[in-house]
Amino acid sequence: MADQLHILTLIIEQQRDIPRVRDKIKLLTRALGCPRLQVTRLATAASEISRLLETGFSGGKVRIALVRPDPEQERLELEMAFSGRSSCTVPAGPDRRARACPLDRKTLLAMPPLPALAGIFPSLQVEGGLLGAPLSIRTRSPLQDLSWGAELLDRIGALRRELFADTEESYLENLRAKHEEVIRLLRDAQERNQLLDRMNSELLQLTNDLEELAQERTIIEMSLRIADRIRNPATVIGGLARQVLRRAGLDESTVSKLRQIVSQADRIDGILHQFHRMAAERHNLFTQISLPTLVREAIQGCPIIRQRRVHPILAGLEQDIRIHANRKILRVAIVHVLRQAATATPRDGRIFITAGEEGQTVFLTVTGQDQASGREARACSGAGGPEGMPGQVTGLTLVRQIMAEHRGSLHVGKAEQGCRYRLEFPRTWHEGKAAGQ
Amino acid sequence: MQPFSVFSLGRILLVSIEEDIDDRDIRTLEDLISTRVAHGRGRGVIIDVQHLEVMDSYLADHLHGLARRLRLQDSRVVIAGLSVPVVMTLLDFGITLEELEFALDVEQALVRLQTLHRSP
Repeated sequence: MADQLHILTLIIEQQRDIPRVRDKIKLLTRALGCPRLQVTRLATAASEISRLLETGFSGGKVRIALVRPDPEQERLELEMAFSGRSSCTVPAGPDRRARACPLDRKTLLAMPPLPALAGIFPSLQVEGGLLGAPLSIRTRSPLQDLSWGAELLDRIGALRRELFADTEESYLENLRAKHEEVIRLLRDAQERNQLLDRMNSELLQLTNDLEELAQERTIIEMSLRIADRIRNPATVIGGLARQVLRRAGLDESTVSKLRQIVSQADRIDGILHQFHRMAAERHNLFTQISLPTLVREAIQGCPIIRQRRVHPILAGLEQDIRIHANRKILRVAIVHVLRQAATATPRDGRIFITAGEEGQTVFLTVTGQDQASGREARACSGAGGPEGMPGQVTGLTLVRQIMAEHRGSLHVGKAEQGCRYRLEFPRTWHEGKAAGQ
Repeated sequence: MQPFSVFSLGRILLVSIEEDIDDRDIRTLEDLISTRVAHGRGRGVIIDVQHLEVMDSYLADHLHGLARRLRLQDSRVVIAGLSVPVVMTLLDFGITLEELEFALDVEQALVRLQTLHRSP
């Protein structure tokens, strides 16, 4: 988590606010000891972005802060976070500076000065600006010869007073901006709480699925074990009782008791048949299903893909690949793997989902793209990061268990830009090959 | 006090822009130069920007517009004293200053204007 030190927030409402933003940036960067080129670049960037907001997004505000991206290091950056007040209002017209509102992200990113900013600030972040969403632009620029500490805090305090000194209006505007910021933070906190609620409900669902799976498995195992143990003694008792009953010269009382033994043996046989029926019912949950259809259902049922606007890239799912599976349970496993990959992938990123057949194996691979240049296989098992659901590793254990139920396996490994999850299923089932059997 | 000053050097106007010029002052300056040239007081304009630390697209657009208008009035505009950081930033942002002449300083700008007026 990065440390932040807010310095100043300025409102951009009218054209006259633009030079003020530019001047404050100039003053601040000079006071922080930035080289001349950096002062000019940052002030020009502030001026150009402010103008874009003023002309095209009904104004907005800029929040200037010092950021320490890595709390372990002393390295500091100057952050300028601009946010537009409304959705795009750029009028289309013959004026050289007038541009039509962008309809897609590509057009938005081509709007001046965004291409230039992308060249100057490698960590430029542009969000919104489309479909009625206000535009927000965040730039960060490294600061040399500055370190985080008490001395810097004192220096920033003095700088703040100097930056505020020119007008009383600045104070009022900053108070207003801070008020808006508090409201924004509250809104963010509310959104995070909603996200936590959603995650809790997903966890609850996962727990229910697990319980259902365990219950099913326990029932079938108990049924088969009891049936196997009782079948032989019951058959022997019933058979012997019938043999004795066929003998002549038995008194009425003995015949009556033998008939009761035969009747009870038949009853036990009936109970054994019930156990077999239960086993057969459980067996019926495993049917031939279409893997591509199940994967599409799982994508629909994985909300984090939508929340993070991750794009699933599908390959091989146009084929009719059939597997022997319990639809409901296997769907839980696939959703979990998708969630794992989507969580590790940056917003607007892509995950690659491929299905196919290799010899006697049917496979499904899900590959995420995290921001690191590939992870070790062990790290992939715990992929997800701070934004992920708690219990990701436990979730993978569940996936492995489900795959074992399907006589298949889960392989986790590193890919070029992230982690690859490969689910393998046998094309045909062979007796006794499943794990745990 | 306006953040610019205008001097007449014969038929040449020397305009010196201060550091903190804002959008309104840019428009005022543009009108002032146009008026002075229209009244026959300048066949050339030197705009000295050595004190300027930031030149954004707005100022660049207005200088470009001014140069185009003055060209129609048989007058040339020479920008003098652009600093290296400003030039590099103009290139970074793809801000072009078309139809303008450039000189390293005011002295060279004067020479340039004289050359321009001698050539047909």
